Amino acid sequence: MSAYIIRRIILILFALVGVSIIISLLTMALPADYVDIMLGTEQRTLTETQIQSLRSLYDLDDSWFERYRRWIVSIFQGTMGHSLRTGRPVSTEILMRLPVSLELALGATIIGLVIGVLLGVLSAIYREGLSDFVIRIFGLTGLSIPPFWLGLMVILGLALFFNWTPPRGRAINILADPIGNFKQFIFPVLVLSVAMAAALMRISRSAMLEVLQSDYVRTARSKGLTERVVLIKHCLKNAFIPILTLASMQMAYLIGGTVVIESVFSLNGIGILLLNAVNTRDYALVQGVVLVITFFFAFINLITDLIYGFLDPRIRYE
Amino acid sequence: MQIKGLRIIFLTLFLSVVLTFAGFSVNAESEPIHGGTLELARVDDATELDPHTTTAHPSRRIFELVYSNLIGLDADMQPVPELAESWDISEEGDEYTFYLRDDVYFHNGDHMTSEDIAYSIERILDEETGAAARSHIADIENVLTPDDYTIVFELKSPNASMLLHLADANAVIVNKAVAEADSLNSVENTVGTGPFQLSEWYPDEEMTLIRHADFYEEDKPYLDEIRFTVIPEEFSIVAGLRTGQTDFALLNLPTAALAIEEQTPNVTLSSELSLRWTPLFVNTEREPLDDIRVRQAINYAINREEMIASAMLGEAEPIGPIPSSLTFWAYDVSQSPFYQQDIDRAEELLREAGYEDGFTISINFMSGYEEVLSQVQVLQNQLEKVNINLELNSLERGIYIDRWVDADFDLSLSTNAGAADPDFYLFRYFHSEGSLAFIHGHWSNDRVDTLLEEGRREVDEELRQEIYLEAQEILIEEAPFIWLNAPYEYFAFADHVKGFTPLPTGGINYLKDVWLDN
Amino acid sequence: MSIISKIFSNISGIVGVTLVLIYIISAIAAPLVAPYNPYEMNHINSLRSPNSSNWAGTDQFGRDIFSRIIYGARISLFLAVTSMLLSAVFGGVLGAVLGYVGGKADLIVMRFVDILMSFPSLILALTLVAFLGASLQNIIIAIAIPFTPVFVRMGRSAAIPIKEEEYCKASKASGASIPWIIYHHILPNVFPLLLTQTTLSFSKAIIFESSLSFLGLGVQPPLASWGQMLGAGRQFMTLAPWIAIAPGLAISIVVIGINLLGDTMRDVADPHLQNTS
Repeated sequence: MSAYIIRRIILILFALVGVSIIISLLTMALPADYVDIMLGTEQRTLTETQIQSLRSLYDLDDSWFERYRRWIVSIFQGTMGHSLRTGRPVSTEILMRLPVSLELALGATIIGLVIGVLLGVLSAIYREGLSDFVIRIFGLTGLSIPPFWLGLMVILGLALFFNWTPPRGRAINILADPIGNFKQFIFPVLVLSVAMAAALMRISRSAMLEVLQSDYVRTARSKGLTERVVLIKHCLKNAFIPILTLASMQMAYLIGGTVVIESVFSLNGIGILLLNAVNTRDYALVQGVVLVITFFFAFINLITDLIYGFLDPRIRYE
Repeated sequence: MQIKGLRIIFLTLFLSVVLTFAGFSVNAESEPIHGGTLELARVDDATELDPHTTTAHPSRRIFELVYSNLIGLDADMQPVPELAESWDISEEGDEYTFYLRDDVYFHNGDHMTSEDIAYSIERILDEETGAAARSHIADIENVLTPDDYTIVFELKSPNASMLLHLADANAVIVNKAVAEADSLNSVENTVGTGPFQLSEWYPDEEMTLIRHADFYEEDKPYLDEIRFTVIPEEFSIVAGLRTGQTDFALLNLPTAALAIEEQTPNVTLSSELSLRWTPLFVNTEREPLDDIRVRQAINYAINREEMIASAMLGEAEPIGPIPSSLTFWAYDVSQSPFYQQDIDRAEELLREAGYEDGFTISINFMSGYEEVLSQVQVLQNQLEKVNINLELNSLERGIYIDRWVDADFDLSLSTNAGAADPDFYLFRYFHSEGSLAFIHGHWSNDRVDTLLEEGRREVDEELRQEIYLEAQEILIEEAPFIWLNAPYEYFAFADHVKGFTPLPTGGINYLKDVWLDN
Repeated sequence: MSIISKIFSNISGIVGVTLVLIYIISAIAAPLVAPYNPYEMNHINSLRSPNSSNWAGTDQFGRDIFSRIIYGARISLFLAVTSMLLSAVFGGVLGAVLGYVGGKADLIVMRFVDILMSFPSLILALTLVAFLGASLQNIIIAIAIPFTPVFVRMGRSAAIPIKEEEYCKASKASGASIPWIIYHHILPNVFPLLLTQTTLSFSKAIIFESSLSFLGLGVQPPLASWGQMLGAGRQFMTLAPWIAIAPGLAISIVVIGINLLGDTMRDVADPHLQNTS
């Protein structure tokens, strides 16, 4: 078991190196650099010397290899390089934004799981009944609403009917001001959790149906166990693997993938940080954010795989 | 209250004098009250903080409040005193002497002298700095400081636009001691003499400006604090204005402006015809656009009014080479035959040029700007009627810029920054030596060259006006660009925000006059 | 299974089939169904709310929204179907194989999948489209790539428990080849989950394209996809809500139809369910 974990961690490290090289080459390959974008179409009104001195100010003259090497070294110094725009360490920038992304992702996952699994199980138990039909339509509608649309509607609705808008600007620290934080995050989290709940509801419904029809559940039933014991002990536990797979994938995806909701609710997570960094070719920042996102991805996947084994002893770690 | 019509009132000298010197303003019925925080929302954040190298608009808005210039501009884009109380220009127009205030202090308490001014101007002129304003004030040859409160610029040759360029947000005065010691791109080193002081910055989230107690204009500013909040969705900003979360907003979209006008009763919208301008950049080196008849045919095929009505929801004005917000210099395009849609004439010209079966060209534009996308769609539709097939190339910002600086396009459309100076819109593009003449593929015209040179030197406003009107007429006919329209600058504010004067630059310098009537 | 549930099952199926058929027919026969030319601008008619001649109103250019929805069905159908087929077939089969085979190949490929997956999909797609150019085919690729890892993992995680099942082990013991086992045991079992995932992803693909569109790099006008119409209608939400409501409704209805159909198909395809009913 521990050998397995160590091996996975080594693999994660390899993946991180792979990601960092790929992303570094990719951003370098994009046309235009930081100075080009900073100067925009005014660029040609500056003299060669002016542009050159700006380029060297931002260390844009070095080769890819030199820059990459320097960046790797800076990781071990704990800075992950410096953002070209703010001049601050990339690690500082990320640490400022990460709590927002984590809160959005975690909040949406938890709410999505609770609602989604509950509805999914209900709809599987009452398969083809009226409540099943209603729940499924609800789920489908949830899936077909674009989050940016829902987000804007929520903001407009709140303004129109309650004359209230969630606090904007700087993200409120959950420990310093839990109530303010709640006001700021509850609606974006709810909006994100709609699609999450809908997806989880559908997957848990099919997983439950699958399990309900399987041999061991029929065996359990024939042994005369009560329906509740069968449901909880046998069905849910086994249906949990696909549910968990989807939930963990969604959550990992949400950590860097909430750009649109971040933008609508003006919450700055690492999604917007990355989008802006790509748009301005802030190379070290792009690399740093992608590295962090990749890390969380790999980490969440590792945890998920470990939980698989815990839930289903038939899965062995080879 | 509708402010659109107020521009006309501003035009009268009387009011503008009253406005600027007495601190009296648009809807001031009572005495200004000190104190309070202005919650300001806008869609994007400052990029960097070095005022000489950062040209991004959101950053310039900050420089306008934190720094001061030698001179400022009033609502009619006329020079007014700022750090300089008064100035003399030599008869030949090649020597400027500025007499400075002696009561100006930086945010860190340093007393400002002519040394700081000289340093700032030299910093801009130094190529190593990479300052954006350098090309505009490069005519300055020598900077002299006869005493602490006098500064003299000796020019290589007269330049009629010099004062306007000195009033630009990228030509502000920085603190010599601070700038010599360190980079200016940080909150701590943003040390200006302006009405507000930068106190905190959380990039892409919020920025806080606090009152500068030692500001040289007595009693001002009235606000204790301005909080800039970044809200990337304009509709989200409108919602915030409605609920009172936001007091003041900078908006860009015509739809957002209309939503405020029609659906948000407690909020005033001020729309100021902008100095920004939207042309069609034409690559005159590429077939078939190298043929003047084809360019003219495109001009005839376009219906600018229709384009403005549908793509901009009526929120723009057709323009010639100099946008109509510069009333004095702008060519009256309603007089020009090229601004009347004439499909028959367009088809005739295309036939003469040998393109009766039409052709396909492409247009580059930056992705993510709804109003640009709307305009190119109308353009596509209008050109289709004369058999010109327009392919749309929506490009990511960096890629757009990359193609632009190489003039790698057939047509390109964007809304560009403007200035209060007619020379800004003409010389750099259409003089054969102009720094941006590459953009249309080095189209050139001897008469235009002569006119633009004369225009730069001519100090007499009436004569200068004639020169520029003639140049514009030639440009419209030759069509190295096809000028489309100028949008509005929108400032939206809650009813309790008093005393704001909007500027066609989109500038918010006059937040120093603003107070809250709670 | 009770009689009532059978009826409901049939109703879901019928509703699903009907909605999808309407969708496909209007996509194919767009020129016959649409009352107006969807690309024709008629500036006098701009921003009309729904009325007897423009059932879904008009947009800012006076184009008939209903006609644009009908034509948009074509583009959206094409985009979503091709990109989802691309990622589901490739990803699902790859995942099933990896799950069954396991070992080093599984480890290595899955790390690549992780890398791909850990990339925020919208930004990945944006970068791809920015890089390749916003043509229809590039947009399909840009949508398909970020969706593929989900199918790989789905296929894989569904295959892992199955390979431990007795019947699977029995086949292996009796000397069946790996491709045979994958084809006969793994894929049929993976299929229901993949189908659910495909129907899930199908709607996501349409929404995903609308997100791309509102960031400006979706389908280029004059072509109109539902996603792009939705994105363009966003700024008119308070002034002319019908612009976005129509494509929003269209997306919802089709997504519901496809999913109902998908569920019915799943029931039919699922061997276990057949046994029990």
